[in-house]
Amino acid sequence: MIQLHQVSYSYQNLSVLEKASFRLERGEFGFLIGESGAGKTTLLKLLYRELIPSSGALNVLGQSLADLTPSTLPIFRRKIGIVFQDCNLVETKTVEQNLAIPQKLIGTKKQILRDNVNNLLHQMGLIHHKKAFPKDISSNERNRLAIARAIINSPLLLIVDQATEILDPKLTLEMLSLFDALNFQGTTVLVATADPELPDKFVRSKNASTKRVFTLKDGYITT
Amino acid sequence: MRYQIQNAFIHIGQKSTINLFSIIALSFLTLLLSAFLFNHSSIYKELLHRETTAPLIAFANDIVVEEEARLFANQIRKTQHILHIEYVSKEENYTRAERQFGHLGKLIKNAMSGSNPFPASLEIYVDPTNTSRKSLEKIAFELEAYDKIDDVVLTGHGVLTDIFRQTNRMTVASIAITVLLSLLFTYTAVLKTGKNRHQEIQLLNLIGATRGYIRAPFILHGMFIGFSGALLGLACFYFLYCVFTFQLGVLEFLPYRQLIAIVISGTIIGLFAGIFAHRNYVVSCRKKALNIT
Repeated sequence: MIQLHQVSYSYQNLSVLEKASFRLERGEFGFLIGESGAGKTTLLKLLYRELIPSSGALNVLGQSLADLTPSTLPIFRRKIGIVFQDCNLVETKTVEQNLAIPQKLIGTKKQILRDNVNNLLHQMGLIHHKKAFPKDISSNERNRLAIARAIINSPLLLIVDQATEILDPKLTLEMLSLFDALNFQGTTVLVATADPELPDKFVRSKNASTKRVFTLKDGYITT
Repeated sequence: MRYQIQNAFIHIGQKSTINLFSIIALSFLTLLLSAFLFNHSSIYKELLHRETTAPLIAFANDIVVEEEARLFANQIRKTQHILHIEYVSKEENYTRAERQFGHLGKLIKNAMSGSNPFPASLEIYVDPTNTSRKSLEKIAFELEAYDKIDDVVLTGHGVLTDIFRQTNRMTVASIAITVLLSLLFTYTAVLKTGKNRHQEIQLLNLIGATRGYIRAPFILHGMFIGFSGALLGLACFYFLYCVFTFQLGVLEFLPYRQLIAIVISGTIIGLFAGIFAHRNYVVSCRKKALNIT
């Protein structure tokens, strides 16, 4: 599902990743742990090809990223749900409109789109903010909206870039439970976090199954 | 497509000032262009109307008899750039005046105690390439030197041809300037609106929007500005035409095919402005190292 082989990435002569290798199988749940500035976001950006590695091979969803062309890249990205570190919400659109963006992109019919959006807004506790703009809701709610937007199209792979960091502990575990439920339905999940205790806390509190943990330090990945 | 159309309008609304300015600027340009086209087409119609009239009329002396006048006509045809000369007798001129002035023609004849005061004339048609005011004046001056000719009048053909040639040049220049300025205004408005949507475009790109999906609002936006600018400009021009109809007299409004051509051209200019704006946007994103297709 995700396979990195000897992947290196450097930016302005600064090495961010050094021959990183790891493998996350289809349907697995993984945590990518690393301190702030360790290169977690860079690694995730490589996975959805916002960045191109300096060297090494990347294979995601059975697709070699080196073979992607401008016409196949959008189709590949539609299979991935991304929760960005800074949420990346469109400030000029309402909560409802933000959530509808991925559905409109795949041409979902109006009625089905409305139902999907409303269901997810209910599930995320955002239904009362339906018509509000992102600037008018709290950081917690912004994060939940970003998560909802990432999962609305039922992606094959869910990438979460430190989106749970600013949520309160209770909500963090709730969101992780939601990811766990998605994982149970077959979605591969990779959560990047700076909190090394998070995987254990989650497994203990929710009595969830063991998750795979990758640690990123000094540009190297250890399992 | 419906989403893209909706989106295009939402974004126009978000950057309303620059879009409004660009539509007004395009309307103004269309208004000016329409005025040039109107002028051009009116002069052209007038020229067509005058095609059957002679650009020069030489009035003969009363002592010149018909045979003499015809002989003289044959003689000057050989020496000047003249295509054809038609002899009009005193009687024919009188009949024409009667037809033109009605009973006034008879009054003139009565005042002259029954004699015909109209002279015989030579209607001189010149080579169409030689109908500028200067060359006609030159021919007229040369004809006046003959003692058989009393007077030579220019019927306005030369002045009209000169004006038409000038108008032609000005119309072509105004079309070129209008196209360039319209492209520039529309391009700027679309690009600025696109940059305002940068965050959304970046997101769309990352979640799997195709190049066409991202480009469509740029193109639709450009086409909308081009179309509405042209339409508004023509509407303003029609309003002004109606207001000043009494001064313009019998001049007809621009023909339908020209009106349709202006609106279609505006829309096409908008389309190209949208394409250029999208291309520039992508280039500027690449410079910032954002992978936007």
